[in-house]
Amino acid sequence: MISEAFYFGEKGTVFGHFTPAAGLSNGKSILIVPSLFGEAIRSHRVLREVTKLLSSKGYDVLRFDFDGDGNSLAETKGVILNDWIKNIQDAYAELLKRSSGSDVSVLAVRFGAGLSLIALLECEIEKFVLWDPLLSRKEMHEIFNGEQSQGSIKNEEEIFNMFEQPPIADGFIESGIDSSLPKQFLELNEVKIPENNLEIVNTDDSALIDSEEKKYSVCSVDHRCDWQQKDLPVIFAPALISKLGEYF
Amino acid sequence: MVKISKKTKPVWINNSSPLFAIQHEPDVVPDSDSSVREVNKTGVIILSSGFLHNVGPYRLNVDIANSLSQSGFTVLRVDQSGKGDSPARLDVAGLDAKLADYDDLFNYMQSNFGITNVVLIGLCSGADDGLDIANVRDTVSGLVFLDGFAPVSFWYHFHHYFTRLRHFRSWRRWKQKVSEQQKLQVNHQSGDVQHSTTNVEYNTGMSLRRWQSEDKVKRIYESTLKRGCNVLAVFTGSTADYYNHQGQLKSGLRHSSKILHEKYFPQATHIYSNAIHRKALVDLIVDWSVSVFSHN
Repeated sequence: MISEAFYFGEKGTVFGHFTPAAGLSNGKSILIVPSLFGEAIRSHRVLREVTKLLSSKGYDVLRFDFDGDGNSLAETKGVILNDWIKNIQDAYAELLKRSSGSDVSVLAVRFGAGLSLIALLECEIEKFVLWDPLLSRKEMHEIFNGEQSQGSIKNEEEIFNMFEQPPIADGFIESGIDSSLPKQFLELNEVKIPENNLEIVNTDDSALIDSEEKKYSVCSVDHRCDWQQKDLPVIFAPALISKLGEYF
Repeated sequence: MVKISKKTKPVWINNSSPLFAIQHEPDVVPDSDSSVREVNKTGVIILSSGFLHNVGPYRLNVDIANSLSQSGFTVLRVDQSGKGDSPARLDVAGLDAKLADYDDLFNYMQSNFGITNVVLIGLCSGADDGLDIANVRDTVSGLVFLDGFAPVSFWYHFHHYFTRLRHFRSWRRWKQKVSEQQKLQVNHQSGDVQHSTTNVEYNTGMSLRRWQSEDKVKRIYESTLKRGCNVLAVFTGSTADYYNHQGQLKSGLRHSSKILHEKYFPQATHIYSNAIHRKALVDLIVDWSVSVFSHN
């Protein structure tokens, strides 16, 4: 199975990876919306494996990298939040163009989850499967803003750190984004959580998801993804991959 | 900020055992007499690090590739077989798989761009892979090692203990802090480098970064230098468990040749999480590459 990699979108800067159904197509397709920066790097391997699994089940799958991140052609500096929302809409259109069927489901991770619920509000989506989603503007803003560590030795700790590793910087702040970007999360439209056809996979202890109050089911997987880690350990958990694949 | 060339495109190399890579073609600048400046015949291959894919930590590989392509180099950022989007090879494994990957990449660069020799760039396990490949492939004329091997010498131990003695009180405070933190720490999820006191036997447990005996790696290093392969070795503060001062590699190898360049960034982390450190590294690699390979 060889997937097709290409650039698409209005400016031709979004990096896409289209994997057609292996064997007989079931006429359905899945849009995979990644998270951002360090989180996208860490979850890349899981999403690649899920893509293979879904393709073997007969789905056409499109993965992509947001503008200013991963393999996209846009520079990180200068990216605004609306670019990312537009990227998701462009990816949806691109999937419809390339796929044999018109039934589209979405598998989205963390920031990608909240942003795709906003971006695809008007689109017909068969099902949303969200992995550790960030569903409120405040939560997205807080996590994106991060610890603002500078990833090098601080004066007061200089002596201590002479003996050990310097601190790791926050993945978002140190990715070279404009300083105004984190605030833009607070100006987003409120995330509207669909009442039907929504599944949430929870692998993070710190994710505050209360399924009692809300109308969606939450499934916990026996694998802990500590998203707060800044040293970019790649997540690879077969249990998680099969769980994400089970929903389709 | 590095400008991104529009001559960047994803490629699949070798249909039978496909390798996924992002290709950065050089920005060819017309000379004043409107003829086109010749593209450098030295190509660059950026190897994967650990389980990360071709983007690298904090887009480090993207920045390096863009900067080098603007300086006239053809660059491939590759997912080695079994990593990123490249499937694992079914025919060979281990070192043979790394060599087979390299051969496919070199043949691709040679037939498409007329590349005659290659610089390999690798961080962490990518640096180890680069050394293994350069040891047996003469077409590798340059190596950029980021946190690669360095022998633990007498001067390493001297620096290690002397610094602790000089700052004994603060070191003790720090030691207490670290042991408290370690009690609270959860297990690591994946195969990043684990701590080791020396690199005599260095094994992450994930078989991704396994240095053989120090003597053997030293011999490989020395024979690679002896055949004229240029080396830029860069170390960060994260390698404190085996490298702690500028010049340690040169003195450990007893190699004073001009083809071995060594740089220590004590404040940088292993994954260059600080944008300033990333820029310094990218500038260093570009300056070194241009000064060593611009004659090609």
